[in-house]
Amino acid sequence: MIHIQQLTKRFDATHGIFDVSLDVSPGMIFGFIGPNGAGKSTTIRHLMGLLKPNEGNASINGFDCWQETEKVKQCVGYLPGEINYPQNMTGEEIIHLTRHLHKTDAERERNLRERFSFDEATKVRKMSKGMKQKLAIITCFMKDVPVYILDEPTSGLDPLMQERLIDWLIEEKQSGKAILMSSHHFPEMERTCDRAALIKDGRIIIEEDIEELRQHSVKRYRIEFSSEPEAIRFAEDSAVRDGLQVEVVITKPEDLNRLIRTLANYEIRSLASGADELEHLFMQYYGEAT
Amino acid sequence: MLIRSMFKQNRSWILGYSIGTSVYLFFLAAIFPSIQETGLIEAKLESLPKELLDVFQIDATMAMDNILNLLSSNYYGLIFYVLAVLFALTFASKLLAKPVDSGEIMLYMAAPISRVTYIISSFVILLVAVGLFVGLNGLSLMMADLLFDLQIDYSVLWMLQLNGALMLLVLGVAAYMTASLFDDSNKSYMVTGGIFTFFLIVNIINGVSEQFKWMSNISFFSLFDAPAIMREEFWGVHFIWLFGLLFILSACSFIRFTRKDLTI
Repeated sequence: MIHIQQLTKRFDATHGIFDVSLDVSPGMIFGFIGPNGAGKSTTIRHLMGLLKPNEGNASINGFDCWQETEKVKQCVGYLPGEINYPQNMTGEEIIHLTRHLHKTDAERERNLRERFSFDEATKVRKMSKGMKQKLAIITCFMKDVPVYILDEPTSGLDPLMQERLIDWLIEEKQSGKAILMSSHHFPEMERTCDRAALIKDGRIIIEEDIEELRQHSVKRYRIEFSSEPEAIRFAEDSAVRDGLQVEVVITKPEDLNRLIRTLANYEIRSLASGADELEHLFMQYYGEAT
Repeated sequence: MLIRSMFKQNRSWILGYSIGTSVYLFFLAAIFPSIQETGLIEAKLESLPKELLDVFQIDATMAMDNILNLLSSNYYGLIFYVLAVLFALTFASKLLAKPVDSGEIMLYMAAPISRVTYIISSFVILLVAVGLFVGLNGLSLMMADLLFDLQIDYSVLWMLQLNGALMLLVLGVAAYMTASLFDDSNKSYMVTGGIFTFFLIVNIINGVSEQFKWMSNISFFSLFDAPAIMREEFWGVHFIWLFGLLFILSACSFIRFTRKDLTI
């Protein structure tokens, strides 16, 4: 569906993207992660036919993104990172225009407007960031197309709307859509993505299935003991203690089993795992790359 | 749908120029008979130095017995040049420079629309805007003629409108082409405004003295010569030049915009 092969765009000697390759298949959500200015949006702009590559190529559904941009955009729904609709138009007017510029589906539109409801009569210039984002989500997914490209899709959304968008994305994935999603929000990446790539300074430094990444990632557990002597006794084995709480870092699945067996000999109040496993992993890569 | 949407977003300034100038022309035409009776215009023209009349391309020998004669040295002189420059800058800014700079153009670029279609749609909007501008100008004078019996020669009136329309089209496309060179709307506005101001100054200087007459050859504005049309002199060369420039500038706009990297 989405195929990027050794894509290079040089803005100058150090800025741009270099030798970027990735593939997104039907029924897959591909997470594109990276710090600001790493090259995520530049890569996405190539897919939308806005930039001409110096080397390599990008194609969607077999159509070259620069040469056959009209055909590409017929089969792509795009959610930009910065929502900049004409300020004087209302939400309803934008939706109406989208209905005519794109081939949209009335049932999907109704469904989306229910899930991401907002005051459509408001002019864009009066909209909050969240409202603009909901409008952009509706106009992006109104098109029933095989490919979606999403640049920071949950940006500006409240937690309830983030949850609804994640549910929507999972449904879309299950119906066979190919989705490329750039984000800084690791929990949503963990829940939705099948595969992810980390880009830094214009180069992809890691690309793997989320499951493999999870397995390789460092897991942190915070254990709260019922008494300080127990916490002190447990922390003697290279764990970090803070009062009754002890943090344990696990790198291999067998270490986790050993931990559980050991904890059976202690009185503990709570056991919590660090939620952002991927975040830790990617932060590790950020650090290595710098 | 694209053209309709673009027109809807731009109709306020298009109607502003068209209706504003037409109302000005109508009222000038309405009061013309009373001004003519007083003989104030001739007296005023006689009192002005020849150099000043040349700078503003006013033909003092032309009898002010007709509203078109008055307009050729009034509205269809420096006023029209300045209006045309502002009109062209507004067009290029609203249809290209600002949408690219702010990212608003993504509303269209995300749709299955090619850049060629976008440029063609922009030029259709320009054509409609110019049509409304000169069309309403001409109609307002025709209406004034019907109401106040001004004895306007309609063939001369519409020849002035046609020449004006071509001038507006050339300036509009030139501004659009310059806007396509930049991502920053302020820069595009400054460069285009600078170029047009240069041509405007060149056009003014060429009237100052015979030794600067050659300067008329390098200014767009010398291609709109209302007094020459009033004198029914040969205007065909001007029209050929305007059509030629329109073709070249349009081709440059297409080439530039279809190859441009859009960092939106």
